[in-house]
Amino acid sequence: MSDHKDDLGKHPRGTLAVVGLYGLLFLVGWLAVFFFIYLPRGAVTR
Amino acid sequence: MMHNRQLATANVGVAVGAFGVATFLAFMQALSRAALDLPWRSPKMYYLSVTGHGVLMALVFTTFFIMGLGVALTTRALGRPLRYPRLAWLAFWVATVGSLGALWAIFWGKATVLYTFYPPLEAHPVFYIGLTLLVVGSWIWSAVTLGTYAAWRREHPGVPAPLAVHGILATIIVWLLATIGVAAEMLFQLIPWSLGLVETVDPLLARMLFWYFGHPLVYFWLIPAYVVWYTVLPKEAGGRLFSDPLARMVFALFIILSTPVGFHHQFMDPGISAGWKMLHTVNTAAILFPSLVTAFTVTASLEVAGRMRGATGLWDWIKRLPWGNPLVSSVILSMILFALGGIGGAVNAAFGMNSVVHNTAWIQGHFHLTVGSAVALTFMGGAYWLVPKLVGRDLELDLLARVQPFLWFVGMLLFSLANHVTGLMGMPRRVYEVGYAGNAITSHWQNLTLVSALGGVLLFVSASFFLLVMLGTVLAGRRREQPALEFAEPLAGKPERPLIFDRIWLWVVVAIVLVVIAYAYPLASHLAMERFGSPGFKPF
Repeated sequence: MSDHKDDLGKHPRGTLAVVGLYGLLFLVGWLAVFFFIYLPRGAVTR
Repeated sequence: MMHNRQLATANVGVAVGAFGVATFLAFMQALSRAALDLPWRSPKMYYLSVTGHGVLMALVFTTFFIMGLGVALTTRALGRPLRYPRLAWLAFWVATVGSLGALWAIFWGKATVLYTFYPPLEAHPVFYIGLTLLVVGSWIWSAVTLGTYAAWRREHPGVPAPLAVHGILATIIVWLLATIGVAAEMLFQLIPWSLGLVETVDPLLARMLFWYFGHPLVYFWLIPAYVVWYTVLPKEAGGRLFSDPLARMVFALFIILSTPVGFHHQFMDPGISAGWKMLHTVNTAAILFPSLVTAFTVTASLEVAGRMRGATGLWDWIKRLPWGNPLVSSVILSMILFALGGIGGAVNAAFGMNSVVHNTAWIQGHFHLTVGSAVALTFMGGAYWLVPKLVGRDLELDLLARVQPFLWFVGMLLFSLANHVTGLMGMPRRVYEVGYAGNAITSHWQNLTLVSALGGVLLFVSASFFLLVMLGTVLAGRRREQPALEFAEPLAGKPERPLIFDRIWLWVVVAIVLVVIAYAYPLASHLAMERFGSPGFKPF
């Protein structure tokens, strides 16, 4: 346990990777609904 | 302190009981939506069930669990008993009597108005009065907690509040601000109307007041879940909290941003101008920020835990986490489901795109990832951690407790993703018969309703495991001294002096200013218009 203690205060690389992947998924998911569903159907006010 | 433990146990007990009844109703609904022929299946039974499930889960289970958790965490973290124990018990009984009244109206078929109780759907007065008493009970609990904190503060000037208490205070402030809306709706509109003192009701005003309350209600559920994520999870995972100041900032942001967002539930409503809806859209986007910070900080705390257990490399820490600890697995799985819900939430909250998903099955898919997972699964994990300590018994049926979060995860993925997809295909929510007498369009979503029903079955099994573990623990768990409630230590140590985020009353003032900016003009404009009330409707 103590062998790795010095790493604890450094940048959480694994977390940044997880958060980065999630950010990508978030963007792709939202843009997919926008481009492939919302825009083809058109806004309700049109 | 014994007195406080009994009070917390009583609150959590009512929460678990409400969860059990609501689970059974949910099981029936999932099968009914798939058009599976159940005994007594009828439109009346369906709407009675949806109302019961919504009220029990969204209002009764959550409120009582939060009150129980709040009592346990506050007294432990402050190291002192509740200031006014009799008032705290009064809060419990007022909320319990109110809940029983509302449930009487629902189960006797006198309140098929769903948990949002939108007029002109009309319920029996006991339904509205009962829910009002539930809120009054929670106000008394809030006052007791604030009084206890004030007494501690006088004895500890210049010391930051423990993080768990900081989070519970944020919960209470958000709740007190939010419930002004529903109290106004109940006292000035729904109760006089249901008693026959006035003949008509203004549905749009009621919806404005409801959603003034309805969205911060989400944060009333979520902030205590975050308290568990920040203050309990890192300790249980064998690590430390990555950053105490970030956590305090998140709770302060929730105080100021939770309330001025309600119009994003009313994008399709007439009578509110596009500009005001846009302002609430911007605020809604802003409130994603504290949740994203939470995702980072809690994940980093888990990474710390994994590395303290010897992990190296980019991903190894995930494997090293104690997945067999039901609190840890519950919270991590709830976070994953919540992350998926966040993507859908950004679609709901986008002014234009909302029209694609409005009132479709997408919405129920979404909020089962948020309140039904991030909150409910965290509370279940929290119960595995808390209840043995409250009743002084070992957790019983340990294997079921370890399997249950994973079953919930799989069941919720099937249920929720199927509902997201059918929502995009146009399937409405809150509709008893989704086959539309064999209409061709509906045939495309029929198979997915079966997937959703399968998810519902798994969720029912998972919930049953939870209830068995709770019953087993309370009735048959081995009696012995349990370890005290312990909170995670921050990686960089506890702050010695209060931070700007600890200046709670400053954030309360900012929150009130934002609420006034977001609501004063639209509300005044609405009241200045010529309004036409509606008589009540009771479809069943």
